[in-house]
This record gives sequence, C-alpha cells and structure tokens, in this order.
Amino acid sequence: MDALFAYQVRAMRRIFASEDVCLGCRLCEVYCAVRHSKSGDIIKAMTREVPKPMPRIVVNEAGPTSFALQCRVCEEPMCVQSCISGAMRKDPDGVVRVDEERCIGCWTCVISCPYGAIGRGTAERPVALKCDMCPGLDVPICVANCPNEALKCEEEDSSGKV
Amino acid sequence: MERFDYLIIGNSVAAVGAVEAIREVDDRSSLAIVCDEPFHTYSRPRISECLTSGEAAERICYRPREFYDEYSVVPILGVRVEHIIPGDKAVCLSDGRKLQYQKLLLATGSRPIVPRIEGIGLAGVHYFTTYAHVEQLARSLSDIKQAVVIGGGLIGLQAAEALCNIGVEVTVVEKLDRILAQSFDERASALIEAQFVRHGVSIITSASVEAILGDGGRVSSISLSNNESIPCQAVVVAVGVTPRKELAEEAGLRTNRGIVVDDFMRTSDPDVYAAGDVCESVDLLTGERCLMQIWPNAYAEGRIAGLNMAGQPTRYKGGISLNATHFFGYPVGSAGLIGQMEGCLDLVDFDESTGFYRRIITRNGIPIGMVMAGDALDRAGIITAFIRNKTDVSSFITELGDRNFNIAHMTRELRLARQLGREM
Repeated sequence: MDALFAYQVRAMRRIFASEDVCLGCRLCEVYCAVRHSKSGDIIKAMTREVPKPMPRIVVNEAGPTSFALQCRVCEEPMCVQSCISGAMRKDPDGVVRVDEERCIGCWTCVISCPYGAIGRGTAERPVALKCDMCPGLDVPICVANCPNEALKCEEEDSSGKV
Repeated sequence: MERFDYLIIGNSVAAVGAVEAIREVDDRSSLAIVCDEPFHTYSRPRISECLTSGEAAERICYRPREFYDEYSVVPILGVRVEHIIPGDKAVCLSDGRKLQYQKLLLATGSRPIVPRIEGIGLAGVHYFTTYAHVEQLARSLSDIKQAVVIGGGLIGLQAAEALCNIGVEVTVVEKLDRILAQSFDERASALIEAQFVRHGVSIITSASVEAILGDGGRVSSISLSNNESIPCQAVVVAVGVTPRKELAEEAGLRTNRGIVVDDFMRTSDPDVYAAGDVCESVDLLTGERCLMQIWPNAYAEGRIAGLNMAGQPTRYKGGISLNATHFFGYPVGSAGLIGQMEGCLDLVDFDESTGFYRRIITRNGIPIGMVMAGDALDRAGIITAFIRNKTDVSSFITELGDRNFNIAHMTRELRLARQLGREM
C-alpha cells in the first residue's frame, strides 16, 4: 500500500461506502446538508437559507460507478498537519473537525486531502466543508438514510480489523 | 542550571509539530520552548490580518490558549538564545540563564533578506514576516498614501493586498519578468496579476529598485533601474527569506544554505535536530536536499524531528512544494514541479472568462506537478496524493485531465488499496 495511505485510522469509527450498492441517488448529500443547516428543515434549508446548506459527503461519479465520499478519519491527517490557521483539529474522539470560525478558506486542506474529501464552502461562506461524523447522533445521518444500505459506520480495532 | 529533556528553539509551526509528536510518544519528560518573540504561537501567513485590526492578534493564534499547559510545555517566550553549546548540551539565554537539554530542536525559521539598496535603512522601510513587522507598519499607516512593495512573491503580494484593501496606492516592483515565479506558472501569474491590476495595484516587472530616497530621514520615493521614480511614504521589502542558522553555524554544526539534516532531521550533532524553514530537507520529487519553506512541510519536519527525539525512529520521506492561498478572493494553488520540463505531458483546462485554470504535469504517466486557480481547486488533494505517491495514472489519464475527475475515475484496485470502501 502507498506510504501515504498508511495513515489509516485505528479503533475509530469511520463510514464505509460500497460502490457496488450505491445508487447515485445523492440522498446522503441532501440529509447531510439539512443536518448542517440552520433550520434543520429540508424545505427551509433548500429554499431560504443563505448561505445554502452544503453537504460534507459527496457522491463521486464516473459512468456507472458511484461512490459517496466523506472524510476518511485518517490516523495522521494531512489536513490537520497542513492547516495554516490551526482550524482543522483532531478531537479527543478521534474525529477530524474544522472550526469554521477559525478557517480562513486558504484551501491548503483541500489541496492536501488525498481523497479530495474536503469541500470549499460557498461564496457567502468560504470555509472548509468537512464531515464531522454527526456529533450527537448514534448513527451518522447519511448512513441512517441511505435507501440501499450502501453506507456503513464501523469501528476498527488496533489490528485494522472490524 | 535548569534542565529539560527536550528543548525547542522556536515557537512556530515546526516547533508545534515537534511538541505534538513528542507528546504522542512521551507524556512524562520535561519539554520547553524558547523563542525571542513574546507571543503565543501564531500563524505567520495570517499576519496581514493584523494590519488593521488589533483583535486579529488573538484570531491568528495557531493553537488554543491552553496549548502549552495541555501539552506540558514550559514556554520561555521573549527570550533570545545567544549560543548553543552542543558539547555541554546546553544553551545560553539572553537573560543570563543557561539551560541543559537531552535533545535539542532548532526550529528558528527564517528572516527577511535585507537587500543592498541605498536607503535601505531609512525610516519607513518595513518588512513583512512577523507580527512585530506588521504592528510597526500599522502604527505608521496614517502617514502612508503611497507604498512600494519590493518583491512580487507570496509575502510581497500579501502585503500589497492588505495595503490596497485599506486604500493605500500600491506599486509592486518585481525583478523577474513575472510575479510569483517561485510558486506558480506563467498563466497563473498572469491571472493573479490581473486580479491585482483590477483592484488598482500597479505591478512593474523586470525592474529593480536602484535606491530608496528619503527626506529628513524618512522614505519619500524609490528610483528604479530604468530611472523611473515612484513617490511613496513606505517601502515593504519582500525579496525573500533566509534561514536563521547563525546558532548552528557558530556551534560548528554542518550548514549549507540552511542547517543540513539527515532523513531523521538530525544535524551533524546526534542530539541536535532541525526542522522547518531553517533546515534543508529532501525534495521528494528531485531527491535533492534544499530549502523547502512551506508551512505544511515545516509541520511534517517538526513532527518527524519530534518522533525521533522521543526515541521513535521515523524516516522523513521528503516534501513537495505546496502552496494554496487567495488574492482578492481568487483561490490559487500549486504543488510539485511546475516549470517547463522535457518529456512531460501537460493536462490543461483553462477558461479565461471564469478564471478556471487546471494544469496537471505528468511525466511517464506519473503526475509531478499541478497548478490550479478558481474552481479548479476542488478535490485538488487527490492529485497531490498522486504526486506524493508517484502513482501511475496511465490507465485513467484522459479522465484525469477532465475537470470533473474524482475518485470514481480511479481504478477499482486503487480505490480499495486506499481503503475507500469495502467489498460488500
């Protein structure tokens, strides 16, 4: 395995997607955006909120292949190491989160994340968009709402096994 | 004499990388940071925010206020290290103290190059690399209507943008034939220059400043090599930075342009390490040792130094050039080798009307560099990883050249190798 991708998480929860089962329906994106909106209501979020609520999980698509991608919760996150402002931090629960108040939108994280899993926000709010593993929910909202069970949230032990 | 197991000289990104790495391995031993700047660790690229706002100083802290407590670091700030004595494993401080160490890290960074120009010592001549520099410039702002920035690199342009945003008439004078020649390619330089010109900044290239002229000891104008003269009340000198290697040189450690270190960030003394702007480390793409004055690389080097200092041998694989910033809201980024090179295939997508510019340079099917501007930055990290890992992209090189390239365009094997999913 490439040296860079030895930065994999141990004993932490991550979301895994199956390209064999993903429909490319993008419901994960909708639920994620609404979860991270001010109102938490899909109609208000989609029609009225400024800045527009944005998803942190993005379906990557190429022809028939589709794959919902979000933060891989790397053990040694390139985004945290590269962050100019210190906004990108690994929290005690192991999840990498961005402090949107500290983020200056330089996109060093975007240019560092090997998965391209960090988004660039909107013109109104140009801060890093990043999966936060839905703190406060037992199951991340994308996993809970995937109609085809293409997303699973799993924990690995220190040997790398589920 | 005070004794610390780990002693770090410097309080910026490489030092923080080392602190966080040391504490991952060793949470018991004593650790101190000595720095001549009296401030909490701050993000140097953000100092231009402090030009107009006093509160910005708090905002640009690189780590939370509790950082030193949380990581059990004794911060000795506002104190200079006068000498290091590797034979005694000791350092001498400007306040008269002598500190002993088991392992020492030199993370002293770099300082602005002071060019030999007549008038360089006049009042009104400023530099732009530290908080103190910006504080000094901020204090004289009310007298500044026109300013000349000498140097069209990243620092000079950040200073130019900050001054322009507060209504100062700015002229940037660049010696080479384009701005940002070290960090971006010709097209990106032109796109960024257009942003500056659009905002009223004058950019003069292929010109050098012959003299800084004064009136009553203060800057009043500069004269160029072509005899043109530009009136100004302030000059910001941004012609490059040079490693602060004096302590190492005096102590007889091996230096070149910077402090020479091996793959474990060790200097010629086995108990002294160096990381960040001050040292020369390996460029992953050329295999050569050179100065890599890049923020993320400084963190990585600090981290590797820290792991090694704490007894967890870790080899640094090397860094690549990497830049990401924005000018007047226009985002730009680059990575790796971006000059014109023999035997390379460029994948280019450029739309002048939107300022979208995406260029990936490949050699023998392996990406070696990229330049992105505007929306082309989306998912750029995927390409950076290809560059770092020297991934052969031949089987999807056409898709790679498309602006919508994403991980679904990679081969399935590559996706699974990166644990991007499971066979379910």
